[in-house]
Formats: sequence, C-alpha cells, structure tokens
Amino acid sequence: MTTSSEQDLIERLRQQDTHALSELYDLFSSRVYSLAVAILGDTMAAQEVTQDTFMKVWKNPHLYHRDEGRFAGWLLTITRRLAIDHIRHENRRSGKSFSLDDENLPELRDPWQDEQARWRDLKHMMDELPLEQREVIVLAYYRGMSQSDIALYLDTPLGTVKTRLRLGMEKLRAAFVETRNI
Amino acid sequence: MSKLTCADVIESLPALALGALDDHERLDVTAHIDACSGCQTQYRQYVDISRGLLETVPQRFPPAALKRSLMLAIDPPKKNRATQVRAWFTGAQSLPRWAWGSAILAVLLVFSLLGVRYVSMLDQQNGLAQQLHEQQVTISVLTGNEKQSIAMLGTANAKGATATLMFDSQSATGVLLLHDLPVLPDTQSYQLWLVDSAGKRDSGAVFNVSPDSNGVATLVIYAPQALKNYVKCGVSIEPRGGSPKPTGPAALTGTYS
Ligand SMILES: [Zn+2]
Repeated sequence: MTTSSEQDLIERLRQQDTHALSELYDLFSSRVYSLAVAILGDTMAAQEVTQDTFMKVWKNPHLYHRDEGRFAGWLLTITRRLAIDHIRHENRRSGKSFSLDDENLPELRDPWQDEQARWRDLKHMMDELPLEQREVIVLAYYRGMSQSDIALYLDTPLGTVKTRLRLGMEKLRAAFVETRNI
Repeated sequence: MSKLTCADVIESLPALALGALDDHERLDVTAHIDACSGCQTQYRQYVDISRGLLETVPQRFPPAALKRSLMLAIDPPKKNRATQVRAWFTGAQSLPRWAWGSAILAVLLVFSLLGVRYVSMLDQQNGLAQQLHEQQVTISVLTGNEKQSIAMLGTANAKGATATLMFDSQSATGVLLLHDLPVLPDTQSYQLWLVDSAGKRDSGAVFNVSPDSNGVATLVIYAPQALKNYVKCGVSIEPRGGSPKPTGPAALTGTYS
C-alpha cells in the first residue's frame, strides 16, 4: 500500500521537483543504505549504490506503479539489483567467481521500529530456519546467486540446494500468510 | 504455453521470487505464471516475502555528505556550481620565494629527525621501499630546476592549517607538505583533488594524518597528468578510503597563480 504522502511525493518526482527527491532521500536513505551495506559489506560501495538508487528513481519515476506494492519495497528492490550488479561487476573485474566469505553473510537484525510488525515476524521466522535453509536463501537473495551458483559454491548437489531453498521459503510463506490473516 | 504442470511450477516459485532460478528454467516458469492465476497468487506471496527480507537488515545511516553529492548531481545549476567552486578555492596565494627554504627544512625535519612518514596513504603500499622511493621523489622535487608551488589555506574545517603542493613543471609527481592539519576520526580520510580548466576533478591522494605527526607531514602524490596542467587544488574530508568525487567539506583550498 502506498500512502497518500508517498503518492504525492512520487507525483512531484514525476514533475522533476528536486525538493521531492530531497524529502524522499530523508525518508528512505537509511533503509536503502542499510540494505546496500548488508549486501556489499563495504560502506564505500554502499554509498555508490545508494546514490545510484536515488538517481535511478529521479530519472525514471514513471517506472513505479501503485500495483508494484509499497513504494519502499520497490525502492529496495532497485537497491538490491544495483548492489548485486555491483558484486557481479567486481567479480568479473577481479576474475573471482564469488566474493563471499562465510563470515560475510549479512546478519539479519530487528527491522525498522516504525514498520509493520510483519517484518519483525519474518525476521524471527528466518532466524528459526535450519542454518542450511537460511544459508541458501541468503546466498540467493543477498548475493544474487542462482541455484546452480549456490550448488557450486557450497559444493552440494543442485537438487539438495533446490530442496533447501524451497523448504525454507515454504516455511516462511506458511508463517507469513498466517500472521497476515490474523 | 510451456509444458510444465502447476506442481512443477509451484516447486520453482520460491527460487523465482528470490531471483535464483537459472535462466533456462525461468522463462518456462514465468510463461506458466502469466497464464495461470492459481500459481500467480502463490507467486505474489513469495514476492511479498522476498520484499520483506529486504527490510530485515541492520540499520545504518549514510554519511551526510552523500545527500549533498546526490543533490548536486541531479541539480547542478551553473550559478550554484560557480559559488561552490569559489567557496572551495578562495584565498590562495603563490608561495613566496623565501618559503622554499622553510619547506625544504620542514621536509628534512620530517625525514631525518623523525625518520618516519606521518601520513598514511590509504591507496598505496606502505613498505620501506615505497618510503625510500618517496624520499627520493621528494628530494628531487625540492631540488628540481623548474619547481612550482601552490599554497593552500585551511578552511573553517581546518583552521590554521596550511599546505604547499610542490612539483617540477613537467612532472605528474609532486610533494604535498602539510602543516597543522587536524587528525580525523577513524571513519574519515583527507583526499586531495586537482581541478583542471574544464572543471574535472582528479583524485591526487587519500591520506590520514597521524596523531604523532607534530603538525608536520609530507606526502608524495601521483597525479593522472602533469601537475602544471591543473588550475586549482583542494583537500576535502571524505569517508575513510576516499570517494570517487569530492563529497565532503573542504579542509584546504588553493588556486594556481
Ligand atoms: Zn499453474
């Protein structure tokens, strides 16, 4: 759901109102930056990705539609994509296949206090997943790896990776859909 | 329409929502979802979860300078830019002839009395060979025939600080002599910027001043082009490790005479 003030901001962005971008930045930069740091593990690169995210929104505000869901969700999806592009680009440049250290996995913490309790529930559900299920979800989503990449990276059969990912996500979905219906 | 059954597709929905399906599978699965409302409903739930996962990371705050940089990037009105450059690079003067003596003295003091460099370059190796090389560069710059110098003065962010950029006319290598530049917190670095006549800013060095420096430090800098080609220089305060372009407040500013 997009709030009316968000809708108003987006409208002003479409008219290339620089104050609207400034307000948008104040509202969301911390979330964008937090996600970029979690994915990239590097504050310099995260600053670049944060700036690129807002530049992208500034240049293409028409790409957001109400049916995309919450504006923040859309924005963070852009951030994730840019951050993962950055990782892939760095990997290509350095000739490494993956830049991931095990201890480098993003740690999930309590989400924003003012957000729906749903995210907090989701985080707790994620914490309760068996490590091997959580691991493949994190590698896929925060590191942009495909299931084949993960199989290679973990030296685990592809079928096992697929099963772990599916089981983990099914549990999240079951719990998530349940909490939403309460 | 692909030949996948709903059961096949449902197995793949979680991976699709996380962007983890391999390319060859993705096309078939998305084709099915487009045509099957049952699978589409489930898919949306997974997408909802994947978006939720983006909200569950530790909270961080970007440096304030990032917003300034963004706003400048989207809105660089000519008037603004001119003001900014003027604000950055005022009050410069060329180094008077007598100052060469004190500059050389200060460098020799740093090298011979203290024997260590008190500026750490974050973008270069810091080994002994590097130090020796830099000492040689410094001496050759200071004893060169066509040396040139640019004086830089501290802004409100570095009150009382001064610096001198010295180089041989033909060279892209120079020496930056720093006086009384404040020690920065661990999260920040100084960065030297060289501005050419087209307004392009090249990074000359990223460095930190050590608390043991007694206010005097030297730094060898390696510019992308001959140092005489620039028209202005400045040192800004950046997040540790430096930035691709200046984002933080200016600490020192200087203009070529
Ligand atoms: Zn179906």
